[in-house]
Amino acid sequence: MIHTAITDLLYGFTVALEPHNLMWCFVGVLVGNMVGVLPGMGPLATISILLPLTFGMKAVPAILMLAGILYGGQYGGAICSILLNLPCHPPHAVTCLDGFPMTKQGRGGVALGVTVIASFIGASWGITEMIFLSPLLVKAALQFGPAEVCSLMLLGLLAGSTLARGSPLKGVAMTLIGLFLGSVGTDLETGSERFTFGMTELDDGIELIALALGLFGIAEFMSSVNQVAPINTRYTHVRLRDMRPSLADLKKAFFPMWRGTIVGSLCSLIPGTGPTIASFVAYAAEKKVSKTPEKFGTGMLEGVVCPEAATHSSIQGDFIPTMSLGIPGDAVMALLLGALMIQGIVPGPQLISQHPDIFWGLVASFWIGNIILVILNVPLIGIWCKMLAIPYRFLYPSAMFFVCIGVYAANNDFFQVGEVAVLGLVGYVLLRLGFHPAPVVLGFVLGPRFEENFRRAMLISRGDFSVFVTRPISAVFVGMCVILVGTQIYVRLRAKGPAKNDTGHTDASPPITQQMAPQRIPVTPAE
Amino acid sequence: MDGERASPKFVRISWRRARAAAIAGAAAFLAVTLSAGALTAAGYPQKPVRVFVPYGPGGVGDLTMRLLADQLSQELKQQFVIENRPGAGGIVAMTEVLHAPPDGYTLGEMGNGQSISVSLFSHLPYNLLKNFTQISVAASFEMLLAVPDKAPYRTLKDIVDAARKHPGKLNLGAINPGSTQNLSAHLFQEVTGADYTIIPYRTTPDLVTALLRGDVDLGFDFYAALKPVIAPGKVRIIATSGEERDPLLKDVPTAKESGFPNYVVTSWNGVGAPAGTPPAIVNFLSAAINRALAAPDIQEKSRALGIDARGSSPQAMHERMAQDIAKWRDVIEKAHIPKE
Repeated sequence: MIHTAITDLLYGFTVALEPHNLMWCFVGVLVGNMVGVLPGMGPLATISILLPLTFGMKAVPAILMLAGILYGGQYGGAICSILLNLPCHPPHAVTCLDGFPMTKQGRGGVALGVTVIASFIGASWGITEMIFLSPLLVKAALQFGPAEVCSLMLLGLLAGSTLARGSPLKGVAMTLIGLFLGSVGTDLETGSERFTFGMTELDDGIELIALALGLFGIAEFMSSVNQVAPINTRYTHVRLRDMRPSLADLKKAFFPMWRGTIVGSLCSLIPGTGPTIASFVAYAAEKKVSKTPEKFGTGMLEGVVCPEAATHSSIQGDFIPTMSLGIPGDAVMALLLGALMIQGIVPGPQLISQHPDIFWGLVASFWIGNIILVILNVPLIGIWCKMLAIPYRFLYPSAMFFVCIGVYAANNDFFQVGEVAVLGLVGYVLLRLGFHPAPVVLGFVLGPRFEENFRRAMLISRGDFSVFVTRPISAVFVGMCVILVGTQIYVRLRAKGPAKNDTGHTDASPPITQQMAPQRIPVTPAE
Repeated sequence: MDGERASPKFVRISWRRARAAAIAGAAAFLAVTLSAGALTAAGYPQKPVRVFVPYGPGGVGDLTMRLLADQLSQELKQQFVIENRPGAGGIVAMTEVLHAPPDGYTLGEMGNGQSISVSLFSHLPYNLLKNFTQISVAASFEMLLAVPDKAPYRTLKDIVDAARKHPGKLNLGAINPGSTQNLSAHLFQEVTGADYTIIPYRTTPDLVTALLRGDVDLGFDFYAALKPVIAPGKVRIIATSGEERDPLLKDVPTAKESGFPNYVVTSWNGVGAPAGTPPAIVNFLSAAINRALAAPDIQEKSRALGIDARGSSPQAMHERMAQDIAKWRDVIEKAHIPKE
């Protein structure tokens, strides 16, 4: 088993090292890294903008590039979080808490250097997990019939909506909107139209690309216009010399790095828990384990490396359910899943046997990509910082331009450009009202799968609801759903009750909630 | 927006119409002077020809047209450009063809799928037989009836007998309602007179997974779709739906041979143009398509996908379309599939 995995991996390296594929992998991580450094432009927006470019490409280079953007973006995102207190991508919000104080103490370079190492270790662990767990998961995948998938989707929807940051009620509301949008189009069972309002363009449902571009890309642009303060460049001068961590630093970072990695990889195995949740859990856990929890938030190296390692191991691990079960862990994964489907490849139990070049090529490219990223990031930090100087008035119009071209190219249909504009407006309104659009995409992607499998399970069982609890795998998921909802209710009720008990705990927490609440943190010249 | 674009478009159309008329006139003259079936139509084609395909890239419908377009481009020394307009039962692609000038420079792929949508949609913006000129059939492919590897059924009769013994207990699987596959399942229910539960799947891989798991007792899909699981023996084909045995599956009897003479489904794709396209161009294209399809390269690639690449006369395609519209109308009415 280990032997076959290694043979497969070597085959993957032959695929990933083909000059053409290697080039696109490099392009992906470079673009991802560049964009990741820019405030307000996360991998999701970048992938959705670049997605149409891949239509004309072969599937392997296309997915290598898009995946490269994703994990490349994580490296970039950390840079801004640490140097400028700007979380360019949600998982890095926690990194700001201790990263920016380190920069103010003149140790930003050290934080960056150790972060790169932590990221690489986290990612490597995630990849290893993917190599050795995927064959097992795929063997188990045929155990997933309509009842199991239905229960799993329910769990994904619940986990995705109640664990997302911000108010759980808002998260649920957004998930429901996603479910509604997902139901637009022709009903699979009967062939009748739902919510199309007589528009034949809507017969096949709302375009996932249009939804993602609209809710994230366009909505982000609209809310950043005239809102992003000129970036404070006081702390951006980092020289290579400053980035070299001392042996003591490395020693201090070693265990937190591994703890973060393990937290991240566990999170990635549960559908619906993306890197954002992983990094938060890792930070919280590290604080619990630490001998000096009160120092967190004042520039602790542990507080930087632990969530970063968790983010990276979670991102790589997230590919397991996405690729071998066809269940996206978060919105970015949902988009990658969409990218594969557009290429005519349906991720699922068949993927590894039918498209081994894609699966193993992708796994091998992760390692290659991560090594490229380390090479890029260590000496080029100074240049990344210069990228921040691109004026928004040039960046935004060109990005909008690409969005329009992108959606039009999806189906050669102007209707979709309109769809993006409308959804963008909706997304902007939601963002202004403090609703995070991620659960919408989650509901949109998981909802139809839930419905489809629910009805199919009912058809096959001839209307017997007990299939969901009599089948062991399904029963486990249903049980997890109950526990998830139960703990949420319990925590809420407890928080309302003995409030005094929580005060000792919350003194360090407000910075998290305050910083997390707005999507983009306007730069406040620090003190 | 419409007003702005209307005038230049009108100018363009009328200019094209004028030129088309000139071409038609010249062609008519040539048709008189040359023998019938002459392979030239006044220098047509002089510029690239657009072919609208009602499916996304990659499917059987798209692949057959791409193969054909490639061959036509080589033979007629003009590019035949494929434009994919998937969605809405092919209405999007057909509408593009409908509004194009009938000068032979805009063609559309149409076949079984469009014949079905005539009865599936309550208000199509066109009449398939009257608003389009049929040129030639391009490809035909039949349905395979697959059972899971472990299933006890050896012949089609076994499965029908089982269904008659236990009405409603057996599951038929096919992709979405309105597809040829799905209607084939409905037709099967009608022809065999037994009661089954028809389970729709969104994609072919979903259906294949269901077959592998044994959720579905009998699956309906094309050869190209089932190929990866037929090879390792994970599903067994117990019948094919054509008039004759499939050359790739010589051991598998047809449904007709298995005792169901009324169960014949052959899906097909052909090439059409807007009505009013000069007959000379239509005949010229029909002959060219028939020749292109006979090329060894096309024959070889099509056979590997389980496709019978064979052309027809314009009249034959027109008749086939008329027959299929009637056939599927009947199936759709009896299956109570709602109109969109």
